[in-house]
Amino acid sequence: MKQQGFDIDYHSLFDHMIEGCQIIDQDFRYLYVNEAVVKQSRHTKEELLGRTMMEAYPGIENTEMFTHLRFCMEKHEPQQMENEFTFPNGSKGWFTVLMEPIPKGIFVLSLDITERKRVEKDLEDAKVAARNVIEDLAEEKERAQEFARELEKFKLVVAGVSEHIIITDPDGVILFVNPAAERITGFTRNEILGKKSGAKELWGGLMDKEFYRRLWQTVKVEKQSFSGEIKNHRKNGEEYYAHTTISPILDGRGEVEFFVAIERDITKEKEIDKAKSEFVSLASHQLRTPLTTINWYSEMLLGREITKSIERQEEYLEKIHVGSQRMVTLVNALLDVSRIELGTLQIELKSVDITILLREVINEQKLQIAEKKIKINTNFPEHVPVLRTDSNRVRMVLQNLLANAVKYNVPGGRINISISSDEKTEMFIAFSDTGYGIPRKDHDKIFTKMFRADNIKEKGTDGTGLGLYIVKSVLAALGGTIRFESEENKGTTFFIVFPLSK
Amino acid sequence: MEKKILIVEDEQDLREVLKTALVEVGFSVIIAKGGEEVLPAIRRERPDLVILDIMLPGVDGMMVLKKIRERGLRVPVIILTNLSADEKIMGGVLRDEPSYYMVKSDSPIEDIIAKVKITLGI
Repeated sequence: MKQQGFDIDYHSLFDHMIEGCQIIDQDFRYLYVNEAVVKQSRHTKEELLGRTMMEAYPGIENTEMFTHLRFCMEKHEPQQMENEFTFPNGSKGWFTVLMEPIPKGIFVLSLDITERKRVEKDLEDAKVAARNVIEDLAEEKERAQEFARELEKFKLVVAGVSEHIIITDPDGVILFVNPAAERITGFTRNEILGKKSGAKELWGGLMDKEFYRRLWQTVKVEKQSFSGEIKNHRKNGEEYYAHTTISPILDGRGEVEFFVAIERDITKEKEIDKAKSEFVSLASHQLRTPLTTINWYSEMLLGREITKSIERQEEYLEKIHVGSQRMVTLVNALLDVSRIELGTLQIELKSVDITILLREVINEQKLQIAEKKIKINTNFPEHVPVLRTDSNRVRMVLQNLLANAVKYNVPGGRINISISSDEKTEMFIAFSDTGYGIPRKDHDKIFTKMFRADNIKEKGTDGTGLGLYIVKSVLAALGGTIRFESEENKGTTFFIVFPLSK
Repeated sequence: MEKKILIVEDEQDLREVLKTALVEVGFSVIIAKGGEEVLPAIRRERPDLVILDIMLPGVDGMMVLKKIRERGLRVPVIILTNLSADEKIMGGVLRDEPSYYMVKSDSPIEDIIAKVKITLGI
């Protein structure tokens, strides 16, 4: 192959090309192949030259490449394609194939692009992977947002509950605290976080060592929930009782990851329990004396040893009657105390004319007043503002105060009752007596439950020690107050203040 | 001569019923309403027996009994109380003591009278 003007060895030129060059005739027989074709085709020159493509590659006539070759051969139009070629041994390779019609044949130029294709594929794979990662990230973000929303809800719930909730790490170091815990303990979030739960510097340390040992044994070693009653102290030092439940939260390997501690302040419940048992003991103690009196008089009536003249029998019966009356009074007072202490005292607001109420109360007790020859002096103004209060409860207060003024008065003494008001905010009622008075040392004790001053006990007056306690508690429930001035053997004045509603 | 009994009791009703019962069976009765009145009453009236309540305003019954014995007074004492018989409350005072211990609500009036009579050797 020589061209005029140039002395070129085309064989040598073609053999140095990286593109495969081949010339096939009309029967698709190999007329020429260069060295690159030998490399690409996995055949020697000898195996190709003089043979048809169909002989060298059985089945090639069914490939897309062959369709292009045939088209090029028949229409004499150049063709170009990228083609993945499968060799007889099953191996594959990618080629760019250029088909150039020549007289009575085709010049085929082929370039092995397997490596380029591989890189392209890797690139595509990488793209897909990147796309997947991006999609995953988006999903992840969505999930994280969902989780955040859930957490927000959880936090709202935890913040809203009245139970004290903390979450600690496996060593008890506090990681989370809810507002109720701050409220109950008095410590702030910042003071609590990072400290050890149950520490003395926080609310703990009041139980004995054995309690804390048992608690840790249960939650940390046995990995079980622990429930119990615990005494804690608030930041201000005040002690309180809580019912506590501590649960370990385990990770996938069964190790403690967190502890969740939920505590309920049961101080109030405890107080009610205490009030209940105090009430029982108070009731049994107070009822004993009239019961013993009734017992002994009735034994005297029934027994043989003691004289039983008719007069005597009547006297004993009279005493038994007094004893049972006293028990009725006592039981009523005790019921009032129990209502006050259990918070079940019903308050029913009505318009109350205090002068009418006071006159009724005085009338109820006129027998006792007359018996002791006591003179009552009332000082009620013509116009008295209407009180918005519970008339039965106010009656109770007035009855108690008047009964005291009579009972602890000297025979022939005086009682002065006066009403006044500033017409706007408050109404005042004063009960003055000329009785025994309250010893100075007892001034701060007279509103205490079951307290009776020594001087009136020695005078032999009966009393439950509950009256003034009831008065003060009932007044507090009605929004009123009471105070007094007293001097022993001169008398006492109680001042009540009622709020006036607008 | 009729025997004289001192009742130490702060509850008026109980003082009255005890006095009535004891007078009915022939004793003479004097009264103390609180712990402080007891020693002067014993010195003044020389009672043959004391019925002593424990829960008293001011000086309580156990303190009164201790003082009676510290003064060398050998008058027999019947403790009549609402407290239940408890070694801790008694503090061992009664061990070598010519006294009885009775709980009010558990003791019929005739038992009390019987105990008074036994103590006085009647």
